[in-house]
Amino acid sequence: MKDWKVSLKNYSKYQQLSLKYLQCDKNTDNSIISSIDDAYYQIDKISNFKYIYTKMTKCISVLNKEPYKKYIKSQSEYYIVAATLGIQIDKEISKLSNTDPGKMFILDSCSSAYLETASDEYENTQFNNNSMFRFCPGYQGSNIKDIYQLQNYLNVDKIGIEVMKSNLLVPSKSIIGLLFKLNNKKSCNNCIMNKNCNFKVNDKNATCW
Amino acid sequence: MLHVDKIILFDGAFGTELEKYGFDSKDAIDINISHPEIVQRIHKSYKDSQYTTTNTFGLNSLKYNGNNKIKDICKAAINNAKTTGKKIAFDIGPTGCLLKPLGTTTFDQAYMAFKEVVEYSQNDIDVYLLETFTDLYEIKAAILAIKETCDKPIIASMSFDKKCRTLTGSPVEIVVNTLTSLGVDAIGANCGSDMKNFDLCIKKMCDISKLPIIVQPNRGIPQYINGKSVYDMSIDLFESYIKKFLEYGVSIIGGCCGTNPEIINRISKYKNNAIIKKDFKENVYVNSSTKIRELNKITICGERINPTGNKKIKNALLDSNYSAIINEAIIQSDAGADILDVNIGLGEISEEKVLPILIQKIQEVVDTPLQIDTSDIKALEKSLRYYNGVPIINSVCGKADSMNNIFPLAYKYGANIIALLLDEDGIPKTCEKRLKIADKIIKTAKEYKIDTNKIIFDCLILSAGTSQNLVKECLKTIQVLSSKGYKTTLGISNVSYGLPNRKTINGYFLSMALACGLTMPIINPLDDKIKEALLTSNVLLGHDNECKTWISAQNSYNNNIVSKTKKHTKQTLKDAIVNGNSQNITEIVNKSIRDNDKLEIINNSIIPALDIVGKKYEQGLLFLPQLMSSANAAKIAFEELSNNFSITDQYKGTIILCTVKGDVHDIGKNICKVIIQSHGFKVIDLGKDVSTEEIIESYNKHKPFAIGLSALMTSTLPSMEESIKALKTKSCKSKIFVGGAVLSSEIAKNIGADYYTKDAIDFVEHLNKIRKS
Repeated sequence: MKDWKVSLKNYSKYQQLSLKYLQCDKNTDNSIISSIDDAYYQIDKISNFKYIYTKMTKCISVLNKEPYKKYIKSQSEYYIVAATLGIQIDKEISKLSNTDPGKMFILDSCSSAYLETASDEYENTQFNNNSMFRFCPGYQGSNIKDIYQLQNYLNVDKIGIEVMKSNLLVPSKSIIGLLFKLNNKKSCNNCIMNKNCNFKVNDKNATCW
Repeated sequence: MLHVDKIILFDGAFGTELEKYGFDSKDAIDINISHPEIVQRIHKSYKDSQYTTTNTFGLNSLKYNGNNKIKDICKAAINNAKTTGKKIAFDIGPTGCLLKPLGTTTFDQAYMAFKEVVEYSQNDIDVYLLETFTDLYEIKAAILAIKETCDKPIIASMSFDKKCRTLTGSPVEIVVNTLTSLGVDAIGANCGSDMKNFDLCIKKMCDISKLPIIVQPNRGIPQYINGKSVYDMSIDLFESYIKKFLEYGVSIIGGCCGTNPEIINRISKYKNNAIIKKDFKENVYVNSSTKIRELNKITICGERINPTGNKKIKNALLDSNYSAIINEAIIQSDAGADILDVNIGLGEISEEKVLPILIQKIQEVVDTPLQIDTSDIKALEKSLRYYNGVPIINSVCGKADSMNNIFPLAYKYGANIIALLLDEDGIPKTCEKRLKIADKIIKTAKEYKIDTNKIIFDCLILSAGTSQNLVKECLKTIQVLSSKGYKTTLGISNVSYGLPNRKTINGYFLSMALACGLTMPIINPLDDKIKEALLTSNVLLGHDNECKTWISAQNSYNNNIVSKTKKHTKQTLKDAIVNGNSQNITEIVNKSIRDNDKLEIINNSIIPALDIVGKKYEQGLLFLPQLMSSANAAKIAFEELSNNFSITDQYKGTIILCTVKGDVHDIGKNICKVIIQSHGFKVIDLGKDVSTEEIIESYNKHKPFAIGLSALMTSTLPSMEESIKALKTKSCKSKIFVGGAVLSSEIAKNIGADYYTKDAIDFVEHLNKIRKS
């Protein structure tokens, strides 16, 4: 686990992801955009971003099946990763559920966006390129229960993540997944989800966010 | 007792040493039985250490899932450690589960897991070493498990991150205060972040703690390769940090992950050295898990969570509507209360049952430390037990029974105590007699080993309307106690009971009491006269440096007047709801009440506003956040109407909502709640991770119009199905709705639900349709 100061360079990615999770489109009014900005500062202040990973050079039993197998086959190494924004975000969301449900929904959505963006940026920094692809069990026919086994390789409790028996993660703004290297810069075209994704963009160089 | 008069040396890592023998550190515990010779070899390799730490980290029923019995592993681990001939520190690590309300493991479950291990180990060891804990609540469970089973000394060590906080957000000061109050013998830090941050934590700890401090740092930050950790900090660098820690005043040293016999051998030169003593000023604090307040300074205690004379709180308690009470806690905290008094004394409810639950629910959302206000001893004990941090007990008095019942609890849980200056003869009329009771209380407190600094004397103010001459005696008592260095408190509003213009009297009395030395006024922090009195007193008594707070308060007061006036003149209730503007809703509703009948307000303002918002949402002109803001505004409007009128009969029906057992994500449920409330339904929100039993209990109590169950994951669907079956078995007449990402109408049908709703709007439309039909 590295100490890494979050400063979202790709703010527009955070903003676009936030809009997606808020079920708003680009034409939404300024009050929503302004709320996304406010949420950013709030998340920045109270979150405690942590990222942990382990490098894997062999295929482990839980990944020796589709859809993982086809990606691992082409890799000399891959990573099991986990990231979290910490429990304070959950507490703040819980507080807002009592006082301002609108803000609660905004903070919840924007926190998810922040976590994804921060994780992407951390990966770009750590692995020094933009060709790493993160995939979390539960998508493209993979079994979400695989998370339970992946955590054993990482000591995720050291960054405060608990994988519950239901496979939910606590804190809620956490991820556990895999990181693969792609041959090309990531886009919808070479995305691991490209056959079965609701957010796919048809432009071959575009990404869903 | 743990005697620490010279530097003590503990051993180093076990797991990383085990990997050298070809074993996975994840199998460490079982190796006590399968390969005892390896365990013994590792223990003996730390030949310089004075204690052998058992290979039992992670040994508890919540974390360990191997094939051996915990009892057998305990025995084997202790026998393996005994082969070194040294003193034995029994290692207890965390459960790996987040405790409720953050996770789903209860405090009691964690306690029982620790207690089991303590029961099997207590006779053969010298000290318990709690290490690598990252949650203050969890380590409290472990400490109580040990203290309630045996009298072995406890070393409590936590892990901190780069912000010098535990993973659940507790800073060093709070950890020190809480663990010291719980009566551990030594505290410290191990594992966690890199040495630079570790250094900051240790320095802070040494500056503020009177207890011996233990440090067991990692050998730097590891790299993870193929699931294994690789450490590369040099021994020289490690030693240099240990040396630094010893200069701060640390008394026990050792190593955590990545350390080895060579490193422990290197630092063994400091073994048995003299401990560097530090002077520090001991202050008294009250704290939650994330907020701390010094009681030697003026601290404001909010009084509003009290059903006496407060219809809203009373109704909320009778309805088990904890949201309303939590809101009250939030409002007072936001208004500047440093502490919140929680009183639920109502004949109709069981304090023993409700108070501990409410304390936990408030702490889930509000950081402000709490004052537990009850005369029910069982309720008090449970609340102290489940409180996360160091609370205040309200109260003990000079009666023998009271002191004999309450002081042991205060000692056990490390709480601060309000002591009422009355005894078997009642409330004394003179200052001198009150001081005699104070002396009696102090004397008895010492017999119970209570630190008398933790006592706050309530000098007892009666109404000036009925006991006018006693007001001066009360103030005199505060003055005398304050001059002796004691802390004092008063329920300020008692002085005006039965008199007109209470707020004015309260404000002036507060100023007088503060001038006499009052340290903890119990007040309504929302009262403008009280706020003014506080600010003014702080200026005049020199507590407001350069009058900065006063000046700033005047500026924001003036700005508020202007903005409220502007909004007030322009905005109707309908506009406010359509615009999602909750800020002034209460005032706007109250203004409307003067000119309109309540039904007119609902039919001509609230409902049309919601119709406009609903249509715009459907047309894609408004989005969900705006819909929710409008719904929230409408909800507040309904609540304000119900405060002014009895509109229970105007509620369309009662709906119970919850997220089912095993599921802790409740965003969807919370969205539904506010939308449903805005449409005039009364919602009983049971929260998240709700058991079938709780749902049944709530159904039996409220006989709701509908029950809404939500779940996010397929793995929690069985809980949902179980709850539905149980309700049907009880011949439940309520309509059962289900919703959540994993649900569909087909699944809903299969599990026995009456309806599936895809979102909050769908839910409320269904409810309205059913109601009409």
